[in-house]
Amino acid sequence: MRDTKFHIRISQLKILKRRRIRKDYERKRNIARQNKRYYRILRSTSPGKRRFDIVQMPEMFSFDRDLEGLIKFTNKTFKKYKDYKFGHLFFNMNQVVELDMPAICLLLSLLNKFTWNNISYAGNVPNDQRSFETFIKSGFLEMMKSKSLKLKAPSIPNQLYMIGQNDLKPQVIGESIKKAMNVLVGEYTHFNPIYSIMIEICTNSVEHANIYEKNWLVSISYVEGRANFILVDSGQGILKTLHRKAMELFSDILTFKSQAKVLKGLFDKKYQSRTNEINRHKGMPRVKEAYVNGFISNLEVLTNKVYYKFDNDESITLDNEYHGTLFKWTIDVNNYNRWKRK
Amino acid sequence: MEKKIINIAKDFSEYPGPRYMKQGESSGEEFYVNCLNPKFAECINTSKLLELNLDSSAGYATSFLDEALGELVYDFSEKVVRERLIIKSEEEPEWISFMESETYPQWEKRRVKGEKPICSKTHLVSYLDISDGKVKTRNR
Repeated sequence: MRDTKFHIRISQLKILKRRRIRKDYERKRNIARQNKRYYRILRSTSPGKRRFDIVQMPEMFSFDRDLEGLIKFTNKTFKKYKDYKFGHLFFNMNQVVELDMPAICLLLSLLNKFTWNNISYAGNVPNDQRSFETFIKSGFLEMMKSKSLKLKAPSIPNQLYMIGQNDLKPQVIGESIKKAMNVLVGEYTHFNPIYSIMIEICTNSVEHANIYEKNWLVSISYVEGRANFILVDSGQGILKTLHRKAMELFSDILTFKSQAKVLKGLFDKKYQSRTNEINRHKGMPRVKEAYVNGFISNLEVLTNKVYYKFDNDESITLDNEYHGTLFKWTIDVNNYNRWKRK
Repeated sequence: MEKKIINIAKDFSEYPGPRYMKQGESSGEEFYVNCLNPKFAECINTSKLLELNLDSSAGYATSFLDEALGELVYDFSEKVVRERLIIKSEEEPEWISFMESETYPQWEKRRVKGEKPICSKTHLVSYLDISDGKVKTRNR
């Protein structure tokens, strides 16, 4: 009787041992499988074997000459490569024959989005002499970690800078305006309306832009005694962050109000901002006020599917949607004097 | 009546910034909490006027002034602010009419309705208790 019990006990222990060995084996096998998967991922993203593609830039990469093409290119490129994590892109600019500052700003904004998505990039310069000079003078290369291309800085350097993701640095904006005034009027001085509208626009961008892939940049370039200001915000666009009361929305739909008219209404203080507080939404009307008072000239706004030029009260509805907002205006000595005389 | 003077460019920042602290440096909220609110409360306690000078700065965003002056109206009421605060600006006098015609009445409405200002973080601010006319402090 005792022997039987002993034998049963022995066989139980054997079973337990077999189970333990099996479990141990499975555990080790799982670790090996996980490692295999991990190393496979690592190999695919390591420099030697990482994903790589060449982005062919269009010949006409210009805001003024081919806006639709420019927006289409940026949208298409972003859509195609946004999930290209740890990949590398090469932007071939050799064939570009038409290039301007706003287009460079949009390109930079696109590249910033790639940076947030862990996509690295490099590129070459246009073969066309005029485009090459525009590209070098823009200050684009100063923003890149360019090792191979060391080119002479232009005599009047353009200012191209980017400000944070979530907060703005007023001093940087103020200093850049002073530098611009130094070029225009030979005096390192404030130009208050410009500062006001830049802070308004940038605050708007910080408040309403989407958190991910958000960036905004400022460009100040000089042509024939004029300073061209460009502010690009890669958020959702003004029209998407606009708050319309139910009645307003209903009436806009009933009267087939176009997006351009809605945008115009925004500058005329007809709508409230998304926050819906009564003391808000004073920024955009202030931008228009600066234009009407003659402190800035050639004010233009591109947002979502609308391109609005204040000069001729002309608005263009675009086929391709720009996901963000671009403000563009110029100032010269006359604008400054007008403000001083006021 | 004697008066105290605040020059934003000298006493706070040459480059006034956005509305809220969370949006960036030198905000209207920061100016109100650290500079305007304590000095205004002091002026009420010592029966003085407060002069706010806007000149010599790089410029202002509407949101900066709206938040700073608006919160003042919210804590001390429009009537008291109009009585005690003098705004001066030779460079941009339009700001004075902007605040008197828009900011003050809009924030007075908010005060009456009890719509609290949005704060980036909790502050200790002085306010005027209408029931006994005394300046007190509270967290917001």
